[in-house]
Amino acid sequence: MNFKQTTKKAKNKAIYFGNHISSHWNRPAPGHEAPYREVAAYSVGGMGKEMIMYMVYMLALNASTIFLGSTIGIKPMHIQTMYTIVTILNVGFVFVRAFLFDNMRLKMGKFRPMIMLSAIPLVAIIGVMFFLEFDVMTYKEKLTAVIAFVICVEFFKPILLEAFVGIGHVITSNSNERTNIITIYSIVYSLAPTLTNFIVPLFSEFTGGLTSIDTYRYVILPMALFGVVLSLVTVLGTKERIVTSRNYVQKVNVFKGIKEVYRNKYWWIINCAGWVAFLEGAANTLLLWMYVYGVQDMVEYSMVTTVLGMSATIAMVLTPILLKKVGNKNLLLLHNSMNIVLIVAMLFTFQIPYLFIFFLFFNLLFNYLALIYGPVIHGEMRDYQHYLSGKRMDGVFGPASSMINTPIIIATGYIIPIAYQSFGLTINYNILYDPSFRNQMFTVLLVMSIVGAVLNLVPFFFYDFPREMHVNVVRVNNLRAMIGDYSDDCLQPERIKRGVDDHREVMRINSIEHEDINELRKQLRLLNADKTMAKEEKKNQSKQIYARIATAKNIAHKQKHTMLYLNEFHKFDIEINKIKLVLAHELCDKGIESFSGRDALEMKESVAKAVGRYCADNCVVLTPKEKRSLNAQFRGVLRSHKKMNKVYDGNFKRMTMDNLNEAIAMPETNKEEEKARKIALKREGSIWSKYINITENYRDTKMLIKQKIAMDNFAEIEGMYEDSILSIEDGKQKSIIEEQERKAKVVADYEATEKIRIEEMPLEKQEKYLIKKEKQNARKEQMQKMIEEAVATEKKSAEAKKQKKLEMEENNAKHIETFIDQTPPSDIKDDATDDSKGGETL
Amino acid sequence: MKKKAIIIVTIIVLSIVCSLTLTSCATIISPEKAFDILQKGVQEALDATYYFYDEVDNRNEKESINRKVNIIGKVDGENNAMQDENKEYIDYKASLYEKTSSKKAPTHVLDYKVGLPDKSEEGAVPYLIKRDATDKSKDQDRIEIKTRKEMTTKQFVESEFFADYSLYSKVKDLKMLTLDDIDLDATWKQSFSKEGASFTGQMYLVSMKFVIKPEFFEEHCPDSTLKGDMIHIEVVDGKLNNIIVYQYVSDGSITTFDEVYRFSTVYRGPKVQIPKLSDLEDEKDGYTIVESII
Repeated sequence: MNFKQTTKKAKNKAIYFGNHISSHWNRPAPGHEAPYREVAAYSVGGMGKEMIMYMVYMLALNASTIFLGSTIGIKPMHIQTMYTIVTILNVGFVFVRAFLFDNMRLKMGKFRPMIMLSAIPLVAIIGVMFFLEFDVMTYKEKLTAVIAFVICVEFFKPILLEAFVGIGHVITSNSNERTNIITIYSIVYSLAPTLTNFIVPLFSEFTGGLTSIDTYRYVILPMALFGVVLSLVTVLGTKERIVTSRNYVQKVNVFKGIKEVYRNKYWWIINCAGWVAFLEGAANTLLLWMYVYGVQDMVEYSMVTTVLGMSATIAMVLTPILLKKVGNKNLLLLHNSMNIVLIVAMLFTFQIPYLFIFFLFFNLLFNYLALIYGPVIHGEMRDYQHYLSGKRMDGVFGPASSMINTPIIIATGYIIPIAYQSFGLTINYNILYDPSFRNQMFTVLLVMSIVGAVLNLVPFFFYDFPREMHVNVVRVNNLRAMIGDYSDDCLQPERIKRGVDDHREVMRINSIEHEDINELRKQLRLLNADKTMAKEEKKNQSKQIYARIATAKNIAHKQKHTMLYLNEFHKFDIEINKIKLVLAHELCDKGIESFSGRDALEMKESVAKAVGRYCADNCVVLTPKEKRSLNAQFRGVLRSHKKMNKVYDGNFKRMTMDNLNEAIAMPETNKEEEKARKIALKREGSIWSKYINITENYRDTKMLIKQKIAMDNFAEIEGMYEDSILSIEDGKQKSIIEEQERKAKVVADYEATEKIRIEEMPLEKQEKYLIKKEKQNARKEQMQKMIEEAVATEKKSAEAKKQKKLEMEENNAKHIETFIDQTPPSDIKDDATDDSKGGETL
Repeated sequence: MKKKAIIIVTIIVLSIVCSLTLTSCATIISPEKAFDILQKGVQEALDATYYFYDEVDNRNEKESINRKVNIIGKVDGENNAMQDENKEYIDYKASLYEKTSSKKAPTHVLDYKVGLPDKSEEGAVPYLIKRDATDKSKDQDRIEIKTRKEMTTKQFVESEFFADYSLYSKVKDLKMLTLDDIDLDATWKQSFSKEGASFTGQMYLVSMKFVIKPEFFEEHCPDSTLKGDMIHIEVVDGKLNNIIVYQYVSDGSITTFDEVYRFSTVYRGPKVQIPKLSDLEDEKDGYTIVESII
């Protein structure tokens, strides 16, 4: 391909993407849920968040904080003690935050209002702190002021961070789209640190350097205020999409939620890695120290940080490609192994700043990979939690982590300050001007970083959550949501389409037969042993066999993970679930009012009888584990029963959401109405919240019956598929027509105004203007033509790719057919025996 | 099973890390050994050519004084001061900053810089510049007087004026201190620890807290900056690093130790930026040439 063709292709692609973005600016692209307008709003808000966080990190409670250490003069050990206090307080804070996130019913959603509620107080608090006169304060006064402000900041900071992460998780429920959105978001928001890391040191030259408080007052604070404005773009420009049943009421008991989280293996792995991450970060401060105390050139520092910032952009572009190529686990291992190699290289080169910066660039590049894959992995882990517990829980991850991590963080947090102290860095940070001391410190911190990087690598060897597994986890969640909606009679066409598509895809994957991998390997061995065959021929054949092995492996891998979906779909074929269903019928068939009026002892006897009868009729013997599970279910329902009678004093009545919905729908056009709505919402919310909490276990049990009915009627849901497609298409067409009408109206309005304007112009000017206008129209037409061409080319190329894929699939099918034709029945039997010994099949 | 394995591995690793940390915690050393290290550190400070110190004196209730003195020049790979063929220190520069904050009077700043600006032309003459600034108060506007005089760094450092600001003047009292001058049995009221004086070592850091007997000051240095109820000295890698003097304050029910004097030093400080002559002659930033500054 020559240069001209390449340029044309690139131009076509650019035009195509430009057109793609503009046409899906307000409407999501096919297969997507979020339009580009929302992605842009999320990304711009992310920049704002980063600007705010730049200021917040000035108060980071670690020994290397310039503001707290050098500017205010707080001792590293005192900073660590403050950190301990804040960490302990955070245990309480996380519960408040979890409650806010999981239980607040605001019109705007779950995460968006939180941005506003955290960004503004954060900047206000720190702004006030920057204007305190620290230089005339005694040490005790300084310490008191700092701790008071830091506590406030530590309350709001996680809310802002969690809200942005949360939006990333719920802006779409499609994992691939989520990865792409997070990539775009990360690339855009990473421009903010690049910008701030350039601007702040540069401007600090005029305000007395990074150790002068004026830099914080007149450079960092205005930047953070601008950040607040940007973060509001996310609040106003995004939507939250949570995959749950439409009638699903989000009410998560924090302690129950925490218990559920502790069952999540992937949560443990991510947390374990986090426990030792502090050591790896020991060397994070080296570059700043190198420039503040060694090179002493903040202009060069701002340049260096800008260059280093580029590593983030490169990493963000690379991450989705790497995620796709090597998968989650391998990427985690690659990142952490490369960290070890690069920190070792930094250890041997830190006396040569440019070489050190070179290795630091790549170290940062690998660390920045986590900016994208981190949220992706967290999102997947949360989806897995949704699958495990059947509830969407976002807020409880904070308390769950904090309960386990707090004592560990407190204990390990002293390691670095102790290391600082042991080497002589106590209150006199000026000692870092001494090159011999600085070099000693650098060596120690880099060695600690290497140890940390090695320790960080270990937990990820246990991580096994491939993409296919996640796809099926989401499928199960979708299936549950669809079944829930069917039971509540509120199925939407989109839900039906997605659920049925998922179901059919799983069935299709499972219907594919694949070649026996062991047999293929055997063929390969025989081929290699054959010395009579020509070398070229041998090479071609082995290439083909390798391709067949890869295809078979791929199919086997997909089939393996669809078992998650199939297990859910056929869950009522399992005896324990059948028995649970018997229990549910026994307790819930007569309705909740009747249930609340029953006697606990009578219920116990009746359930025991029903379960016993079922086991006897079906010759079922329960294992101890199954017995425990059944008992837990029954005890849960009894708890509900006890609470119902205690709280409602025998006058229990079934509640609906009508009152709450009425309160939500109340007008709020003036202050009085707003107040009335707020009071009604609070009252109804509290009543509803109590009701939900009390009846939770009963409803869970009742849900089993509903699920069973829905599963039995799955064919009926499938029957609605065609109508759903039509309805969705209708909706799309309608929105396209509406969009076209809107555009036409805009054009007509514009032309009418133009006409009046032209008529009012003097003749000479009118002529010139019309010529100019004609040229503009010609250019527009040309552009339109180019767009059409680009779209056609792209479509053609997409179709060619699709065709190629189909051909490949056909080839594979042919291979399989040939294999089946050629393999004698006895061989198949032999292979089956081999498989049972651990062969790589389903 | 895997989950358990991860937890076990991590707990083992964390225990190793924690035990390593604990082994690096402070160990008690003998007063004799600590004093030996201190005296070596003091001698090194007395002999230092280049140094930077930061001193905060809050002894006077009405005012607080902060001094930063920096003597700097080119050093070789082993951190020794480099000299030219005339036995003059290369790139020899000094700065002296003194800020007096008072509750009753406006803040007063004295700022001296001496030497040659970076990248000066050959044959250029070094000079001393002084900025004397007093903050705005009720009765007067902010006053700032800027003066300049030709002077070498050597002349400045060896001047009588500078003698009171030199590192020598700050640590000379410590040179006279012996183990006999220390009250090793000082009880709770006089020291932080119930056991009395404490001498600890931790890798490169030697930390000592003790009470100096009043006789020492009466005999050797009645106006010493070391005077107080308790002194805390840190020596890092054999070099004197921090001196903190505490005063015992009792306010009825609450008793505390207030930090009244802090002195931190290092043998290499920040770069001293001498403004170029062209900048000094600038109308807005002009410095008056005077006969005598110090």
